[in-house]
Amino acid sequence: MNNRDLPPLPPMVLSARAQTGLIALRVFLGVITVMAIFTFLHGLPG
Amino acid sequence: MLQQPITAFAEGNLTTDRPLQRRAGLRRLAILAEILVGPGVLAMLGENDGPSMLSYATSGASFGLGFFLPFILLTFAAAYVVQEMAMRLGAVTGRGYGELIFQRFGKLWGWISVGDLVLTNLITLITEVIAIRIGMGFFGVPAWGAVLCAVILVAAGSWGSRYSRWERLCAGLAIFNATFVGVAWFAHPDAADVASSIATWSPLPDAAPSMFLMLVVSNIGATVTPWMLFFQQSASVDKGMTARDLRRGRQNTAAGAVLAAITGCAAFIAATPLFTHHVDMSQYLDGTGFAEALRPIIGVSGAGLFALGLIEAGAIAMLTISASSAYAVGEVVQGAGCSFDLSPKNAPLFHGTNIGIAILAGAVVLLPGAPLMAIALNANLLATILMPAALVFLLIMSNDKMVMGAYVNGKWTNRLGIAIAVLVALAGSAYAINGFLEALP
Repeated sequence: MNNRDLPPLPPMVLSARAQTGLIALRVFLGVITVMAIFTFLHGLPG
Repeated sequence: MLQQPITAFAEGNLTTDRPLQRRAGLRRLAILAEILVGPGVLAMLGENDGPSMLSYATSGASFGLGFFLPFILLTFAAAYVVQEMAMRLGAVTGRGYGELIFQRFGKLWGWISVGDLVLTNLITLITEVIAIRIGMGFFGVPAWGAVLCAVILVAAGSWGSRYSRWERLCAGLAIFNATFVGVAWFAHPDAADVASSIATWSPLPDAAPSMFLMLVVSNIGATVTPWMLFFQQSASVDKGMTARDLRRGRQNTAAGAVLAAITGCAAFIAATPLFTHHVDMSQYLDGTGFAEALRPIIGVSGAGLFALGLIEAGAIAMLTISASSAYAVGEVVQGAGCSFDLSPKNAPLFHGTNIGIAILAGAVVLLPGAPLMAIALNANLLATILMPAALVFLLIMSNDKMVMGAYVNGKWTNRLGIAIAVLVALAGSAYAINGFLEALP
């Protein structure tokens, strides 16, 4: 049996710097992902 | 003089206490089974999937023995570090990865993480069906037959409503990952050359930066991926692991890393004859691939084993990656059951996602004109690019004293975790930026 019925945890309090860092990382990875998808589509035959 | 009677006494004990000896033997066997059957081994061998084995084989066929063999070993060491954190988080908190992100970081980050996962999982699952199709194609099975087998397998995993049953099904399939060791045997590698390449990381590949980067990133994505974090943490919870099971969980994860490294390197070595015989792999890209290319060099048996290995690699990954999607979706939708211990009637979203994503992947593979090989080669790249975000959350959560208490990361685990996140991010970005600049008119 597993223990799925645990009560929810309170949200973690992140500093403004940590929040900004996470958002910046996600935006950067989003841009990189778009670049990779562009390269993939560009490399398709035809 | 004294030793004689003691030995005789001991021997006497051995003959008269057979039931005790048998019981001790059975206990050892049970411990070994516990170490070998668990989320750690399933995550590692599940990640030795179709695109991963194709990625290792492509590295071997393109450059032969040298840099990539020790590099692959290094990626498995990195996989152990991150998977141990995921296992520890699950065992200590009793919560899955998606569930923890939702509760500790809020809905926005939760949905972004689950969105990343479902996207990479769908693309990876497509490549698993492609691997099964390629492997079965070698034995003359039509594409629709291969797709049907893949979907039935995932549905069979949902049937029975028992986590332990699902785990045993995966473990039974995972054993056949060893077929790649057999193929490597048929390739007759020189032991001295293998040892030399591991010790010296040479010869370095003589390749264009884009090709080199693609294989580096693809081999990272073949070993360290977001779905493994979601899967191992959630499966550890589903198995009922607690902080008391951490030692066994670490052994299970280490066993998985070692076994997966052996079979991954075997797939690499198996394809090296294609490099030494200067075989142009481009002519095999749309057919039965490596197995067909290897047939004239290592014989029908070796080539058949490679095809069987591909089917197994795709099959176990179909089970584990569909499950990781089901865990993620089930964890983030409140009130939805999220366990293989629950029946499809009690957890329709969980089992529906598990089977539904497999059906979707199968349908894409059957689309006429779908760029299957291009998707297969790019699946690992996408996983590598999206991995740093998952690693950052993993590091934050495994240092979270409020939920982890005394089980937070040690100094060295943090150093290694940060180094892995930075290197994965650098490799993924370098590949994406380089490819983008080359693709620009």
